[in-house]
Amino acid sequence: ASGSLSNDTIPTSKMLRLFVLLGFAVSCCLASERQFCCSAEDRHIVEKQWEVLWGDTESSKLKIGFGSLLLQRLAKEVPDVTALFKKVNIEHPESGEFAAHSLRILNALDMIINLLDDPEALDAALDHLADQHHDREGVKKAHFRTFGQILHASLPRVLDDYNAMSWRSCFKGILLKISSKLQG
Amino acid sequence: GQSEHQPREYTLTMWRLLILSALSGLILGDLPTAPFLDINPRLAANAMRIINLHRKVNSLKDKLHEAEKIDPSGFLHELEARVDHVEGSHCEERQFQCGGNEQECVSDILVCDGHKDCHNGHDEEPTVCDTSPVKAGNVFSGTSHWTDCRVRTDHPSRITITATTRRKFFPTRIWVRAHFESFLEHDGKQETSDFNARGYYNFANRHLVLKPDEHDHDHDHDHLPVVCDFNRGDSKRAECHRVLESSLHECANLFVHLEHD
Repeated sequence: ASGSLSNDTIPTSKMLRLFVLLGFAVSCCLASERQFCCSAEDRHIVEKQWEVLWGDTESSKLKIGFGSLLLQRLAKEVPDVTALFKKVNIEHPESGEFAAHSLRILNALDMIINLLDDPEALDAALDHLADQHHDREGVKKAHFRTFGQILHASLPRVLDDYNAMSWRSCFKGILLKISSKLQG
Repeated sequence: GQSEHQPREYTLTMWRLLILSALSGLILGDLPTAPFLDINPRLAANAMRIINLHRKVNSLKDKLHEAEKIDPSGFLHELEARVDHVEGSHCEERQFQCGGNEQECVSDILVCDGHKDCHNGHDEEPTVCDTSPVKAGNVFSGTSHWTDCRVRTDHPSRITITATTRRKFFPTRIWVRAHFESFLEHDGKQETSDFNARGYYNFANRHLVLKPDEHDHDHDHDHLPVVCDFNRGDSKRAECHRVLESSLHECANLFVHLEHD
């Protein structure tokens, strides 16, 4: 097992591990030098491990499946979210509208990961995403925190190689930037 | 700027030659009152030939300038150096290949120490012991391309050799001080990140190592050492890398070229 939090560990150790990881992520992001948080190597690792998913021509199926799973989990954790995705027909996850939306979200994730090597372009893309979420009434910063947790719990289930440290240190900053223009 | 002068110079020469031939006609001719009616035809023809020659010499000058740009021997040296690199030296690490028909290896600490250690003396030859790659005052510049360690877009860098020492009792290394500059663009603003470095040059593998100077270390920046290989068959070009000091892991590559002032 590579950094995945398997279900058979005792809850206390799981909590401790999460706590240490989160503590590390926070402390590294507060470091004065930007180069340690989501360093060049972290970015390479994330890109390489993410790339594994898209080896096949049927990648859109995978993206739709994974994306809709992430959004449904978010809706389960935070019930208010269901209303936010009403327009894209979240009540019928098998519908075309929701499939298209899942692909949109996964493609945004894919774009972010592929822009990790170009900080300026990444910033511009994240700024654009922040604007798009700002225009949606009711989206909160807390939703992104939960989404981050769901993402980190789900990724090791689809990726055989998953370096939790690298993914966390990169996505902490990314999710913070996307939710930077929201209230609460 | 030569071609701009040419027509003027050409007419000038022509006039000079015409006057010359006219004067010679004057001296040689019987009728001093009408010089231009009486130019010696052979002299005039010679003048035309000289004008032609003058034009040819000028075009030869241009060709010489062109020829300087492509240096066959330098080109061959480069090819040889590149092939040698691919072939490998058949010596252990930290050893020097004597080459020639002998093919023997000596320790790199014996190269250019003033004592012949190879049977063919190759380890003390002027070409091997050439100190010109690290002459104080040399300025090398090139573009840094980062592959690891730092998230940076490509940027120009410059290495200036500021001082060198060669100990009389240990001449097999040149101790080098240098200044390393990187010209970065940050939020649309140009900024320079620079540091003083010290290191050494090794004759055996034409290898230059430069580490950030600990005496004036600024703690805000963690500068990475530079290592260069003069592996292109001359002293003007080197293949350099920014590396992590402990593991020598390559973080960036830059190919530098000697600047001429």
